[in-house]
Amino acid sequence: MAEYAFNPEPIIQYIERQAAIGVERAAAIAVVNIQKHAPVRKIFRGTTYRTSKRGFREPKPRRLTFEGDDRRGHANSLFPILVNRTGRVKTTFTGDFRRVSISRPGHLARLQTGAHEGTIGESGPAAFGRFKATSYSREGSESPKDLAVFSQVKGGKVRKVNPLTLHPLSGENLRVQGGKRAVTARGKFEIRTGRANFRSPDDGVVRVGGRLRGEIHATGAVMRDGIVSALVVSATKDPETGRLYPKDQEFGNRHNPPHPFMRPGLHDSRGALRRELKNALRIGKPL
Amino acid sequence: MTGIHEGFAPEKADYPFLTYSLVAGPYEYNWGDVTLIAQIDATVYSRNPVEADNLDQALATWLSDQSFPVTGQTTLLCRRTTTLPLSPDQDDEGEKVYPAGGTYEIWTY
Repeated sequence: MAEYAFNPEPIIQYIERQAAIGVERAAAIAVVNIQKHAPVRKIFRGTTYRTSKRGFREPKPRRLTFEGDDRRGHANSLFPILVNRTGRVKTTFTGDFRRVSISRPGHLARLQTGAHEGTIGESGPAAFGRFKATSYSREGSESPKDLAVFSQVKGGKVRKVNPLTLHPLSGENLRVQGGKRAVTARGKFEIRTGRANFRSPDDGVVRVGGRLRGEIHATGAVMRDGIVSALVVSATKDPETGRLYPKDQEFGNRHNPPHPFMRPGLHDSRGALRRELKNALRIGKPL
Repeated sequence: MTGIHEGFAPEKADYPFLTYSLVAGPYEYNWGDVTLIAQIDATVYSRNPVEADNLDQALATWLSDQSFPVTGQTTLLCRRTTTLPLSPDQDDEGEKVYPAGGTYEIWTY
């Protein structure tokens, strides 16, 4: 009678290896989800603006939203904008412009930075640097005034661009129409001091804020006592005090309310954790 | 306890006080049902660490397995799931303030 020796070692090694792969994938997904929740220093006002002093009616307040902030994973770029309140360019910039949008019900006009594609305005692209201009509007929902504003943006007549579509962000251009600033007092401070500047490892662009989010990362999977684990780490230090401030953001402190981001991100990742582990360990794959 | 505050307390709030905030509130859909999961941080701040711990413990005891009526939902559980690793803070007068708190999860379906 023959004896069969069963050696489970290759199977165990396979499971360990696959589990490590699954855990690392899940950790990478968790990083992305956590980054979505991570707080980013807000340098723009985000409040309402009066849009025109020339108007015959009471100007409607418009809410400015800056696309880069959180939703698309971009922080606030430096050196974005270029037009003063009359629509004239004060300085020529090239390179790193910020994407700016005006959104309100029924309208979305978006100016996107250049160097990517196209120019705005045949009349004087050089004066404006290069940037892409895109205009969206939903038919039937805009007033003539709005049409004018947005069609000008679309047509690239730069001198007629609504000054509020482009907000200067450096030096004296910090002030916009009506003397109101496009950035918060805190934002102005941050821009001036450069304290919160952060060069994104993804695209190498310097932005104001976003360090905490940019430094969230996952460690490689390790096997210890039969448990495969990977860590998702947020260990950003305040450059002045050396204090780890993600903890203050996560839990809050006496002075500041909490802005949890690790735990909500992990909550969002629960399904992915199970899925990635299951896929990695799926039976039927060759050893 | 002098007050319960959402997020954080006003500048001149007297100690001890409690703050709470929603951490996450995902929905889990199971065919026709939905399970609501609320994760809430509750933190007690006090001048005295013992008092902070005692109040935190009292809160944990009271909340454990508490049944909260939610219209159309049945409470599955209400438990403390984590103790928060909080370190003493310093207020504007330079005096220490001791936080103690935990995370609670409330599941309803």
